[in-house]
Amino acid sequence: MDGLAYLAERHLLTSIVFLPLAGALALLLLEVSLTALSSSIQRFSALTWRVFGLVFALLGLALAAELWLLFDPAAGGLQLVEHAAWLGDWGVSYYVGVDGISLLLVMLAAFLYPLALLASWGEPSERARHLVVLLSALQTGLLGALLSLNLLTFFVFVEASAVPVYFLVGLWSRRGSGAATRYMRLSALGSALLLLGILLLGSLHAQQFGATNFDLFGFGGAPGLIETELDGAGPWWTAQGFLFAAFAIALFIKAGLFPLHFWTPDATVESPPSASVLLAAVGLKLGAYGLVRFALPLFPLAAAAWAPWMCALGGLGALYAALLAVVQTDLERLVAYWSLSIMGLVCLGIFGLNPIALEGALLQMVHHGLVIGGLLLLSGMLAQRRAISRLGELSGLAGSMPVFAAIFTLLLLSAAGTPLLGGFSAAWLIFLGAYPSAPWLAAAAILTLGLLAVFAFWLLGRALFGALPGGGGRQLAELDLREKLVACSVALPVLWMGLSPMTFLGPVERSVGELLESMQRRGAAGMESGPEAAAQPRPGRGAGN
Amino acid sequence: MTLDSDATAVASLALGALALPLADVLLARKRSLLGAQLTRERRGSYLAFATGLTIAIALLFTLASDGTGLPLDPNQPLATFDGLSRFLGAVTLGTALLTVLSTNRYLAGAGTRHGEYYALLLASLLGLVLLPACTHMVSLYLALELASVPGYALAGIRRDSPRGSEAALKAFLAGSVSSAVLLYGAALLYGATGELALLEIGLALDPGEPLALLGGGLVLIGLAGKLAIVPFHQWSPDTFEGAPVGVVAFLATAWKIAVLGALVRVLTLALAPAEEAFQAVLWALAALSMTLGNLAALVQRNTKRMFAYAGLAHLGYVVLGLRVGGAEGTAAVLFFLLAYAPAALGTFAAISALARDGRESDRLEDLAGLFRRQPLLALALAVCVFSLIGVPGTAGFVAKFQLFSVSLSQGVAAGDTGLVLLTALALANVALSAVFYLRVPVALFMREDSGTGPGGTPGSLDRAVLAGCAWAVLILGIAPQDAGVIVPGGDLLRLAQGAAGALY
Repeated sequence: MDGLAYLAERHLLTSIVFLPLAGALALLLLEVSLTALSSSIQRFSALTWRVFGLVFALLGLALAAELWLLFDPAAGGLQLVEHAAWLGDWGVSYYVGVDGISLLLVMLAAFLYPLALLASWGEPSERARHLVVLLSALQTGLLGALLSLNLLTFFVFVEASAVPVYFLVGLWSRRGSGAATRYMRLSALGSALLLLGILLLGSLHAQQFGATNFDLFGFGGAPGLIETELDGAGPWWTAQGFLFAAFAIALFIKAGLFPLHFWTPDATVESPPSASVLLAAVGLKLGAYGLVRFALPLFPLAAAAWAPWMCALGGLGALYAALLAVVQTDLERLVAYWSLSIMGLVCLGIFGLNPIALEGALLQMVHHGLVIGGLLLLSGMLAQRRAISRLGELSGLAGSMPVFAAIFTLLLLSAAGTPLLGGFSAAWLIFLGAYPSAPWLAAAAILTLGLLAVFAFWLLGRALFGALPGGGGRQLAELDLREKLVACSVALPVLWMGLSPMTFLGPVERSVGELLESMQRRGAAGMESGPEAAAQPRPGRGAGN
Repeated sequence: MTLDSDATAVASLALGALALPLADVLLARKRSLLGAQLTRERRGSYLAFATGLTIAIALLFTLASDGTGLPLDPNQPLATFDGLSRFLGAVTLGTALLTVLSTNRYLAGAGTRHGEYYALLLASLLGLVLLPACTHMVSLYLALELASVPGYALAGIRRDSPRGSEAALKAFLAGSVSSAVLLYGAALLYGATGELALLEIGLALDPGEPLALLGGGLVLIGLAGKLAIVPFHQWSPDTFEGAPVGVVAFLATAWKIAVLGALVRVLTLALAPAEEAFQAVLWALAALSMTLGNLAALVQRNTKRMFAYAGLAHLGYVVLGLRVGGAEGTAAVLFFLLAYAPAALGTFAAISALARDGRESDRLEDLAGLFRRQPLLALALAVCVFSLIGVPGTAGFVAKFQLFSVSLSQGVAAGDTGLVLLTALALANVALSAVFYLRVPVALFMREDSGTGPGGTPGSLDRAVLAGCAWAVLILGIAPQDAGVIVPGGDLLRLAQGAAGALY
């Protein structure tokens, strides 16, 4: 026990990252060795797997809570840093640390994981063991990527999370392996591009400092990648613009951002609800997080130059996805497109490149995770009752499922940006931040949310409170205690975020300020003329986009 | 002392190759060496054991050498036993050992004559182990032929099958043309420099002289033909499809690794002065091999053909490393080969493990639903395939990362756009290769058993070999520095660096 306490104290981040996988592997090992030792011992039952999976998930949540308490928002910078060489000669180290930006997303992942596991109890039990093992691997990959400060290790964790997703989508798909294969192909393309960008950057760094190092920030006196000068007179493939493009395209694929979004709806719908929660709520965030964590500070000038176009992709993508969401006939697919739409807003916020917009984007990421995760969980519960999720066949649910109806309404309204709910705070910050530089895009975003709000009311009226043509509503069993627990747990923070967004923004503010400051510094250092172009987009520029 | 261990390794292989046919005859008599008459399967197992033991002894002695047995010496120009020959010799022997272990059950089912098979294998292996040590055109040619001629016979060891004969014939025709081209190139180099020892050729070579460039180019083409680098590859898919899967595993791993050793010797010793001219050739070979190999693999339905074409693509990555050159590039190539061997071997071992009565499970459908029937086998095969793609956590990732990292650093340092573009092409190819490689896990985990495959049950040796391959792949991928557990000698990354560093 002392050893575990030591781990949790000294290596808190490592414990958080590897606890899910270690738990599942330990259980697997125990099962294999027990069945090998004695033929009378059967494999563990689905219940055992579920309970132990949940116990480890709750332990992880407890560790995350400890992280939240230990994190000092006033101190800023990176905290609880751990550093160990992995492929030392090649500059690859295991380097984790937390700041406000990653803290929020880690909390989100740690919070949703037990809920996803708990929700999966309603699924058929024969594959409970596969599900727990794969979800735990996915969770470790996600957490590792969120906390990694070495670009290569980030890449490794991102890829390590792609493999379980591939199996989750492929094994659970109702329509063959097509979605899984499409996901993996596109993901592999993005990975190749990302690796090219990372390796090129590392090589430039090695050329300037004499040693390869993929750490983002310097550690122990060694210079980090962030100190690499990128405006030398090298060939075109050493230019900031090229490297930024490689990173951006790759991360857009990972984040499922318009126009590289087309794999996401299928992957979300085809995977089991518990996995699609982690995939949509946290997995997609890896791409957006990568943009904030790596692409912005590493390539500030290129990011500033490309920002208007990125904002345009975000704003128009949000509108486009909202239009697609409106015409869907399947609830899960609708949620998937809705999620794309909100991710568009996130992109708009990120490339607003000012503190307000960026904070809004981060808040929106968390909010997206909660509401989309919640909606996917709810539609999963519905699917478990009805084995279908076609919108046309849903009607009058409020009569037989009042709790379901209440939570569903709350999440849907928050997703449409209704005031007093989390979605409003996040969207409002994004508009405020984006408006000065791109008023038309901010308007497009408002239009998007308006559209979604109208649609949400129509949907609610029809699915929850309407009546079937023959009269009367669907009679479905109300959520049981476990499901109520899951649904209410998701809804509470959404409500809380609307009432008191500062709880969430508190730790973020300083980190966002530091990020933009470093962009400005690097931008100014790398550019002789017009240092102001670096971080603060000039008003009016890109307004027409 | 240490030359003794290198020499003992070679001698044990030679003795084994000579003694095995004799043992076969003695065992086959009515009153056999061991008393009663033995069944064919029994005899096969004994011979497989003897072969495995011989290879294991050679492997142990190779590992025991410290890589300084016979340094490069103008007065002893025929061979050099150094880090490179030790490293590649050990990898070659290790993969050959696993191949032998994994084919015994298959051979018994196929009704092949064991005696010839193992004797030929040992003879070929002897040539292969000598190849990376050869530093003279004559010894190199002899070792290459010693490896090749039994190789042709091995490809056609199933004389009852027309495809087997086709495999052998194609390998023989292409192989002998390659040998002839190599010999002609060596003759031209001799004409240009008056030397046959690689070191002396390198010292005397004038990079401006067309005769020398032509000679060097022909030597390269000859070796490329033996390796089946695109565009000299046409024989390889047909041979791989027709030959028994164990032979394919041998040709795809041990064979290629050793012949690449010869290529490294030629490039670093003989052709070093004309580096610039040959870099363009290597660039083109790498680009063609990786792109065409992957594109051709995309449309294959036969897994052996698919892996054959994908192997061409991997050769392309290796040639990219040779194009980078230098101690770093060569070290990356050596580690790449070390990482490639268990993964490729695992895929072939799985195909062989599922064979029944000589019918191989070489169609993609034959792997369908394997996870239900043989979960551990399926998992091990999936790990190997993921390594061939280069997914992090497997050996393939570390190897590819190291290779591309080295080539990009050099591209950046030299401002070499060509090299950077080639690396970008390689990365795009890795993504492309995911498309067809993923069909294997899709079949394993996500398809229902079609019931049309041979559906053999793997023996315990098959399982052990596959598990070993998967284990090696994982440990090389997660902790390459600590992977000394596989090969005594500790840090395998540094071992590769040391082996390559000795060349420069």
